[in-house]
Amino acid sequence: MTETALDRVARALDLIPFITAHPGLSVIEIAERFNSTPTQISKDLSLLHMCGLPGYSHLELLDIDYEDPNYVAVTDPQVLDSPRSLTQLEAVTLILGLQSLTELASTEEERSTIAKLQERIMAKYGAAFIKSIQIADAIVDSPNNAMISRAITTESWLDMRYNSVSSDSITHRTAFPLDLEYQSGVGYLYAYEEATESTKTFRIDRILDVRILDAVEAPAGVDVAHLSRTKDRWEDSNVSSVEIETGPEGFFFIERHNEIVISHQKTATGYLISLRVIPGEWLVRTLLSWPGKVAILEPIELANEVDKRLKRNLTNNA
Amino acid sequence: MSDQKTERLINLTMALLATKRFLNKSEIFQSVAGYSGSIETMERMFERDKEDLRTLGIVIEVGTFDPLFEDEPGYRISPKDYRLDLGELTPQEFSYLSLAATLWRNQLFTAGGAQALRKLEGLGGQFSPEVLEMRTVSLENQTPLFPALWKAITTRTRISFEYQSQSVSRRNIAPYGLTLWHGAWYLVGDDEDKHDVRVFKVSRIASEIMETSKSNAFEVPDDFDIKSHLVMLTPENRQRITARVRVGKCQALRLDAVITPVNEEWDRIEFVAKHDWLERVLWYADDIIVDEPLELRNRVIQAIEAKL
Repeated sequence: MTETALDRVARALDLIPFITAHPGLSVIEIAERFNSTPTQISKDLSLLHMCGLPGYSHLELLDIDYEDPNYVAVTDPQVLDSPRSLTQLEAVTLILGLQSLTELASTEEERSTIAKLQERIMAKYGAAFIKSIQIADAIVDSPNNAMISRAITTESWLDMRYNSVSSDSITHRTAFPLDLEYQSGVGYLYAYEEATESTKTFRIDRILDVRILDAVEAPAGVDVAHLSRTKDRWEDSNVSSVEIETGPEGFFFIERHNEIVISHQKTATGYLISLRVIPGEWLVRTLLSWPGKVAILEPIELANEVDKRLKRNLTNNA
Repeated sequence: MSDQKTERLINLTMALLATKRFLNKSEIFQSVAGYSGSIETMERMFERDKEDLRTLGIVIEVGTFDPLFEDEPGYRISPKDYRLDLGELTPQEFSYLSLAATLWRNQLFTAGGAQALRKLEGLGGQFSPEVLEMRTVSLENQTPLFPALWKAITTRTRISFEYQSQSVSRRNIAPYGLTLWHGAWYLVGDDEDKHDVRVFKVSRIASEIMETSKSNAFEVPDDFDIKSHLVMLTPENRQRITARVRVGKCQALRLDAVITPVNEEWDRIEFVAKHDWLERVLWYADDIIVDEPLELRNRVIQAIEAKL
């Protein structure tokens, strides 16, 4: 994104207190912290060097030491010695971030420290928007989060009881946790599984219980420092194209399964939807359980399988 | 933007921040470097500069030297308003704030967080390394329309957009607020055509956000409470379901159920129906038969028949 007119003024005003607080950084290091380039930061510094208080004698100008790009310091910040106050957007970001952190805290003490901090920011910067933005439910809603988070921090193996909904089974899994991520309200754990020697994605809300393995119990001989952290679930070569037709409520199918929908088209009676997905048990059950009308156009084997199960289901229930 | 203008805005900020008394325009034009040209040119320049600084969130106070006389207005920036003041921060608190700034990723919060982090670092606080190790979570929440909605809410500007439900319709809204529920953002606002406060899922907005008024066009009612408008938060009408499930199957349903063995093939389970009960039952296909209530069993049959 190109820099807007005011971005530069904002950065320039923030550079002085930042360098005052961190004297001796190089232009390259400063550029990294400000998500900018060394050339741009050097230009900013020479511009700031010309700025100051009315009078503009050497006593009133900002005094910046930047001749050596490896050592930048502010000798006299004049009135710019403190960072600017938070904007509404910045305060909202911090408040929402702190709220999520309270949910991730692993001890009561941590939780209380973060909650107090959140109240402090809210009291000082939140009055104007407190009614405009709210989180209606817990963002991180699994009691196992703190334990998993701790295991990632301490690089420990986990023993989990996991409910795989696609295969309708509950199994014990030994895995080395790599990352925890939230997407659309669902938490995912990426972990290396010893048994299959591969990286797997676990839905946090389906981990029934979890415990950290001690050094004696943990699998030996796995070079955990060099595990691949690839998260691309669709690298699997079994991915194929599936075409389905739905009624008008297909809109909600597209919304819910957005990550597998590659295109959709409105028709007189509903939607034609193309999916890119592994046509396994998960897909069969997803189509079976969709509460609206759905017809599978391609591939025919999938259509037959879903049809067979629907008929069996109907015979059972009728 | 030219270097000249950047320089002038920085000088203006510094001058207004350093002054204890209000500076009137002629004093500003005489003393702050960067103002030149005719009086009209300088006036126009100054008006734009004030607006620019306000956009950056810098509050400019307007006042007079002597309240008893109607002097020309003067301007200053109060150091108290300008400076970031969070009181004393322990290394632990400082680290939580830094972590909070980078936790959320979306079109708006990524930028907001980066700016906040830059300011926090300007405070020169110390980090607590064990807290920073919590940096293992990221909250992904991509909503391209978020910045436009946020702007309309904070400036109280009316908006119009196409909204996709089972059909698409144009909505004219006075936006009151945003809320996050189950990982999705919802806009709550006064629907001008329906004369009522309505809730819109942001991801279903199917057009750009069009501003249809100037700012400060409406007031949010004093007693407005976002959560009171979320129907999804009202307790559901829950029912108990009795069903037969195949032995060893329907594991997820069994977790919250009372289980009684029936014979070698079937167990009986009793569980509480939540809003997604029908999908949960259909998921297990012929491994489950709903026995009671009969009305729910009929809905299962209807749902299967609709697909055949």
